[in-house]
Amino acid sequence: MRSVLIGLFLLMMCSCKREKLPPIDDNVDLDGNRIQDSSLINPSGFLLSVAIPNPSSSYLNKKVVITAHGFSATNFEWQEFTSWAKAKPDLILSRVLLGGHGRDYIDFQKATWQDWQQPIIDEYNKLMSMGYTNISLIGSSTGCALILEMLSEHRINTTALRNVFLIDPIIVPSNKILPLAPVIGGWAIEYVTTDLTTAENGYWYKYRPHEALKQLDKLTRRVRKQMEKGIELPSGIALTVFKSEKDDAADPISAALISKGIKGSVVNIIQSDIHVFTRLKGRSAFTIDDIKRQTDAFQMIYDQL
Amino acid sequence: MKSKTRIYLMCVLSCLFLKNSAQGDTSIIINGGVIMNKMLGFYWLNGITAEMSSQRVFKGKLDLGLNVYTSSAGSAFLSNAIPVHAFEVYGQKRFRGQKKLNPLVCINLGFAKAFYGNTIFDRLPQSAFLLAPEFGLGYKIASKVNARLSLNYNVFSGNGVEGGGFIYPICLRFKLLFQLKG
Repeated sequence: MRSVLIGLFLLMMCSCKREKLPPIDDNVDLDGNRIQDSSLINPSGFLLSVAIPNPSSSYLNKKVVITAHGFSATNFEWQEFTSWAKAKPDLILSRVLLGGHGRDYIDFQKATWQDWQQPIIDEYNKLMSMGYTNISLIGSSTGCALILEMLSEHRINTTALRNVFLIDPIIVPSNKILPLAPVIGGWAIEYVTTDLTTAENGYWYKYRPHEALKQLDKLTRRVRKQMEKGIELPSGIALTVFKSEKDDAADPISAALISKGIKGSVVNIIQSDIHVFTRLKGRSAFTIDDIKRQTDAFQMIYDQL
Repeated sequence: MKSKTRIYLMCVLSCLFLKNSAQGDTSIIINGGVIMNKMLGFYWLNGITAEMSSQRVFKGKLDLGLNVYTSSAGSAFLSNAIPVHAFEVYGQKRFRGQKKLNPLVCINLGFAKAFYGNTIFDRLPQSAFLLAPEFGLGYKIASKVNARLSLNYNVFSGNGVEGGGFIYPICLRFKLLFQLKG
């Protein structure tokens, strides 16, 4: 009797039809095949290496900041910093779109964390080979984990690197079920749906395939272990962390892991409950204090360059 | 008093309490040994464990025990991982007591504290209450040696907004116990 019941249960499990593809609305969702990140259509509006292929010496003396956005996001995440930086004549931003991002669901599903990382390395290498000598990297959320991994594995020549800024880095996810993604992904879940505001729609992936969650889990585990071993920053490079004290995506303990793993790093705990507090545009609600925290952080970053 | 000292003082007091309770009790059985915990997706935390059963306590049908474990003897040993110290008391029911293989259910109650090593993190949660049901299997390797493998679920894990971020919900646990008395 028992074996019959087990057999019936297994049959039931197998016969359960799971939807492999989410209900993407091509007209609204970034996950569809009509909307994509603007940097794919107009790279010169985002990447310094494309915008100015032959920089003059006056350009080469400027302070360059390469931005890297977070998991499932796009360059939209750094739009406010770009607008803020326009008033600073000695500062130029180069906004990198992570690999597998800003395209469609299938591209996101196929990409590995190495694919996400490669465009940051490529842009840094191009700018350095062009002759820029004052380059800084700034990441938000997963962008931070990718930058830390790069530094730990010496994936770039850091001669031109001056500063690293990490906004709400994720090493320990707030959702502690993420480590289960490799176990339950593919049979119990195919994708996770995220609530986006109307203004965020089209700039973030709404549906996060289990393959991408597995990659995020792999990356965060890897960086955690790198922090446990420790990273020695080359002299002349400053690393500054800004971490919201309450964060439903990147556990604030992530900042403590970086502080332990990278001697000399500076941590600023921000009295905010917003994940990536430097991006307010598109959020359903934020306060005057949130705006102040955002602009204060921009100013602190600029002052340090 | 430092939190670390408090945790270990609680452990010593619990041992003394067990020792006093055990005086004059001939039916008492005491097991002691090592405990290894792997939080799924996070640290190894290792330490020591002890448990007792007696005819005077629930007619010998329930084991009472304590676990003391730390990442300093696991992931944080000679590394930059965050030291986490934990203390638990537990009640445990083993089934098929006379057989080699014993299924077991257990409820753990305790306290854990992390040491971030910098006052800048004082505003973050640094301690956590532990409440964890546990399910597993025990195996009698020899007449006085038992191995246990179990899965426990921390009810109060951190979610970035509340609770200690160093507590993950799912934890794989291994114990090797030697019969010390009885």
